[in-house]
Amino acid sequence: MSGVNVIFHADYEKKSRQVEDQRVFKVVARKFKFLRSVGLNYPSLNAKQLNNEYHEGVPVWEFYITKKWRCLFTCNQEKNEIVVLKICNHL
Amino acid sequence: MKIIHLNTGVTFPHLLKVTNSLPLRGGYDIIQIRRHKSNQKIMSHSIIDIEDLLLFILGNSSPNMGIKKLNKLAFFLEFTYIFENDKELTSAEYAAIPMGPVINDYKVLIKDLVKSGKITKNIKADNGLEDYLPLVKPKALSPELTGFLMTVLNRYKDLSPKQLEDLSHGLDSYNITVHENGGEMGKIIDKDLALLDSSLSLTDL
Repeated sequence: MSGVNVIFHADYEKKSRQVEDQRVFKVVARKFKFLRSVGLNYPSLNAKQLNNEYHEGVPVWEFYITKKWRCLFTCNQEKNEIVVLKICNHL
Repeated sequence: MKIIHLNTGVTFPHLLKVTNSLPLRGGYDIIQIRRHKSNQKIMSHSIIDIEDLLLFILGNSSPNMGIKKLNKLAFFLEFTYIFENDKELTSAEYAAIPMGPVINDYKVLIKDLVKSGKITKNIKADNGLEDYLPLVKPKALSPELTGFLMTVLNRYKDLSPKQLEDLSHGLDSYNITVHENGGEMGKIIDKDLALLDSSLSLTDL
């Protein structure tokens, strides 16, 4: 599954302005750029599906960025796309 | 639902990154300053010298460690420290090569350690491979840092060099570095990428 489309939900930009540490967003952008080229591979993505959390009927996934931040996204294999929902501080 | 389509390769023009290297007293040999336009500053001191990290590893592991395993353990300790604490442990750089991450210019570093009498090199008669033993102790570390390093070391020190190599091949920091450089080997791994290496976490996430 290569050539994955990565889309940032509108809330992503809104949330990103609220976060003080821009380094986090820089590495997340690099991670998704990498994923877009190699395709979706959950083990290498090192993400977990959240129980009972859906966005427009699609399961929500997350991965951690340091101990403080996590990135939430959906993955639609039929449409071949990732939608980055938000990056949030979970502490 | 309103969706904004962006190129994921987008950079952040509002982010200015300035890194300065300065000689400092008090055991620190480098200070990094990253300055954002919003005047936010992230300052991180390297906590220990890379030589002391290697001496710590050699002094707290099984004797006669080879160069491959020593490199891998140094990388895992450094990048776990960054993931857990969001600051660097040493000022050393790590390069991505086919066998995984290694300390950049590690041959020079090891040669200096041998020359200064801090470690000794043995060459095994049966296979000609080199391994190392510490001759001195590292500088005194705080109890907290010692505890942290031992926790991480105990996690990896009994793994074989090949097992450590395989683990490192699964890390985002390594894979993204290789990918961003078109598969070219020997490039420096940006320590900020350690923030993505959640598999290094010491606790369940």
